[in-house]
Amino acid sequence: MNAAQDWEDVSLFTPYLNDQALMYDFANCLAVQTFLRMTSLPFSVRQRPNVEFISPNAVIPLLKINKTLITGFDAIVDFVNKKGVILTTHLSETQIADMRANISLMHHLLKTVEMYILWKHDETYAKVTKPRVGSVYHWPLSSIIPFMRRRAALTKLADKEWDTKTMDEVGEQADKVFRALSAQLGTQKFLTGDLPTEADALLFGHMYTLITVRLPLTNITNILKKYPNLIDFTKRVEQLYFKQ
Amino acid sequence: MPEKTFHKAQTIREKAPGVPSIVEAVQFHGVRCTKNDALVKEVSELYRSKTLDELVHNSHLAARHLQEVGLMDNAVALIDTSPDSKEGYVVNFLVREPKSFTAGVKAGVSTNGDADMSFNAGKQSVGGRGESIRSSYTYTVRGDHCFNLSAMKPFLGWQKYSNVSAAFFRSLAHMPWNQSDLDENAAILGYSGQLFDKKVLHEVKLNAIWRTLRAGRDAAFSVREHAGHTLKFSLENAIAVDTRDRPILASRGILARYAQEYAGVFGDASFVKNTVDLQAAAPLPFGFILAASLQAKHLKGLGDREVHILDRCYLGGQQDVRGFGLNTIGVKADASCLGGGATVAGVVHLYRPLVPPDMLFAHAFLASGSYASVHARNVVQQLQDSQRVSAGVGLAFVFKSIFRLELNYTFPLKYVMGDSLIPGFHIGAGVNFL
Repeated sequence: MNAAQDWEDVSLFTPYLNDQALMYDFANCLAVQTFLRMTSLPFSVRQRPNVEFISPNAVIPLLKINKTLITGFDAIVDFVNKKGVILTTHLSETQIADMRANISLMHHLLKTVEMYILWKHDETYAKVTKPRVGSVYHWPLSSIIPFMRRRAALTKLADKEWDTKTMDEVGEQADKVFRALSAQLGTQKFLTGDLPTEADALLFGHMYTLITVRLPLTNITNILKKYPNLIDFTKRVEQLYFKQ
Repeated sequence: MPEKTFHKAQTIREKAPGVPSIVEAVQFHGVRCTKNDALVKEVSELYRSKTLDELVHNSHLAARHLQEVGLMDNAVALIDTSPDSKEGYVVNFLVREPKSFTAGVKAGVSTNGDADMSFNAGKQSVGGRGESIRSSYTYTVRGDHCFNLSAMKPFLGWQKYSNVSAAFFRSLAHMPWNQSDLDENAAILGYSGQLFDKKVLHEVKLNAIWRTLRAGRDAAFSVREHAGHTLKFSLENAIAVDTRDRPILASRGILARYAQEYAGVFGDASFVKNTVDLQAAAPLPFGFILAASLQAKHLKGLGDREVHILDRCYLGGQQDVRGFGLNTIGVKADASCLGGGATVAGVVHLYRPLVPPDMLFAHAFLASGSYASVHARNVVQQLQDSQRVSAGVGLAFVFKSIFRLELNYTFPLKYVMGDSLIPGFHIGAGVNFL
């Protein structure tokens, strides 16, 4: 990674956000966009059907600066920080550690909840996951690829020992994440006070996705409704960075 | 069969044009599972032989055809006089049917350093009418596996060379010219036959291929943009006139072949690709052979999507423009070659048979190749500007009509900065050489 080069000709490659991207991918793509908007760095979004293959390590989204490719939320934040654009200068070390913990909570627990719903819940798989994954392929790939992706995703869930969880237990895990984030947010404008950080970008990414996504089951959104400050936060960030 | 002495056909060949003959019977010895109707189709023409000369000639053709279509492993025609009449003859075919089942195991190391293990099994003349089935399964140490399952059915008949075939396979390939790997899962249906009184060879292929391109670490972004799954459905049609005496290294004769591939009804790929091959060979004094080949390809994208990097035209390598890396002549991005929309390559060869005369040849060549990009506005101009030339001397080894091996010392003569040149000694092996 060459952080010394100029911030020129910067493109963010994402899947087709409206028709293709799955919840956690959508959340991460939105989070990166929000983060870059928070830093006011210019970039253009390019939607491609094969971003996971364009990406050198299958992680999305993919940020391209000249010939440098950076993939995933954490690496992109790191790269921007190395260029001297840092959103956390006002924070103490403890606050930074808290923020990192929040990010990790979202990356792991929230993403796993989303994975469980998309791949393990049969009706969601049939009505949402399969059509979205298959949308960029012709038949018969439009059936084969979702099937293969599902097999891989279920193996991952089994590795985390989530394959035997019930939907209620998954709901409890989601509730745990929302409760922690809601408590951290409190009545503040952002998670750590009046200024946004990368954790806010990621939180917005996931919250916006969960609020707007159309799923055959509503338990996660119902749980989320118990935390109105998270919903207000999402509306606020959307207003700030996406409505000009 | 009763004990009799038979003589070679030469003893009476062309000495009996006026001797009338009536074929009274055709008998087969050694048939176990070949179907009767298949044999009848193969030899019924023999009954029309009017003279002994014709009969000798036709019996020989029939015996050869039985082997070539895969009905028999070995067939010899013996012509006997009939005990009943003076002009009557009986043709006996001594045949050996193909083995009921063949199987093999092989371990090897592939070109990209991966060890593999492969199993294969096949059966000739499965239903007794020349149908063949082949299968193979390869397992590599890295955990990849490939398979190939193919079936072929010949159409039987007097001197008929046509068949239908179907193949299903999964294959893996490394493509060093654009630093990527390719997985292919394919189903291919084919027909091959002849047109216009058997003068023109005709081939039709229907391809359905699921391709997964995986760009490697060093691949240019332009290659990455094409990575992922694509589906290609295409129809290929080829016609050819071939008067060469040997397909792999001809000493006389010409080949003219025109092939067209159309993709676009289903799947992601939509293009028309035209390929013209011309080859000519002629003997010179002192045993020298002069040969020349030319191949021109043109690709036209249909629809608004850019033609996929896997469908483009490539040049370079031991089989066409020697002295350049395999498929490295084309539009470049970083170290990757993105291919072109049109290519023209020509090679002039001078061969001199060594010992053994039909296998080993001294070989000198001059090769040229040019390309035009997929978006070229002026294709002819680009072809002129992008010319690469190389020359070399070496040895060419031909094993029957199965494969050709070349050992060349090559000098690239015309090239530009950034070309992947491989001057010096190199070995090329394969079937299709320009």
